[in-house]
Amino acid sequence: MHYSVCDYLTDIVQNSVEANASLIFVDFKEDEQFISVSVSDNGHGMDQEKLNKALDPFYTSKTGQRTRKIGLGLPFLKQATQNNGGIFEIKSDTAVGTSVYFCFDQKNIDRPPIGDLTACLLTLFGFKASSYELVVNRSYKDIGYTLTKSELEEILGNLNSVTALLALKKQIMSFEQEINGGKQ
Amino acid sequence: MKKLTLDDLRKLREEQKNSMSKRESEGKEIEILIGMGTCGIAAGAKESFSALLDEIEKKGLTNVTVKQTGCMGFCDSEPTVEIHMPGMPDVIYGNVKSDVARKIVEKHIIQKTLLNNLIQDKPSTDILGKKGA
Repeated sequence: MHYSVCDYLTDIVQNSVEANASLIFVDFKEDEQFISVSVSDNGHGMDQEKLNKALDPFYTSKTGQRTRKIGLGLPFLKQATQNNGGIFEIKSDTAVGTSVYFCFDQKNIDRPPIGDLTACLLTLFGFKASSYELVVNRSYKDIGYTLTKSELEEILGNLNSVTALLALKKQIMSFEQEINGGKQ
Repeated sequence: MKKLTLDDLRKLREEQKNSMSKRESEGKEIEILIGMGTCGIAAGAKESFSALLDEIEKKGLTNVTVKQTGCMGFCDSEPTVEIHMPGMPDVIYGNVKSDVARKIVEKHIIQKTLLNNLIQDKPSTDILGKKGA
């Protein structure tokens, strides 16, 4: 199943896209102590009963593109944070949308690896779905960058075209190199 | 906080535009769909996606779009890649690990030869109805 922080992040953002969100915020913060990620959307949200069920294994709303959903994404994420002594929170309201926050303790041996953040971010901006605005803030301590889907589309055009993806990949890799330089 | 900016991206785009205007008139677009459901991610679809992009860049192809979709029902054959291109039948390939992704670019897209042993049958009817959103 999901192995890295990036896998969990992709899964949660896919949930937001399938909840017909037109606006999704991702905040990916990293420092020596924690990796913390929040994903907030203005999708159709869940009432209290559905929210309780959403954390049950094998419960899924089975809509959208992923018609063969299994319903393990959220339960596995919650379990991973518990194994790690981290934090998992989910809030949802049918009038507002859904917000998921999860945090891993870097010093705990059960911290999942971050994964390939560049490939992950390319994926988040390229879902074949109705249009959605996505804002991703990524930071390591006091250095960071923001990627906004509409701004990227203005610069690069169609984000599914390979030329746009390759240009975006180079940019993200250069950002991550600068951030990794600061980690030493 | 030190905010990194997208200036390099803008410069790169300008450079691309200048060198690309000739190439874009070369033929219709090739569309690649890569399954990025939970099963796909678990099977390494992101690595296959990176390999695809990398090989497309190496071969200098520009009239290609790559989109992520959900599960097509071939969970036992993930990662799956679907290709629509003029001059070739629409095909879904299964078990597309990174090395296979590169072969697809070389054989299917450039040489216009099917990789017969990797073709999946069409998705089951419950998915076929909902597909193509």
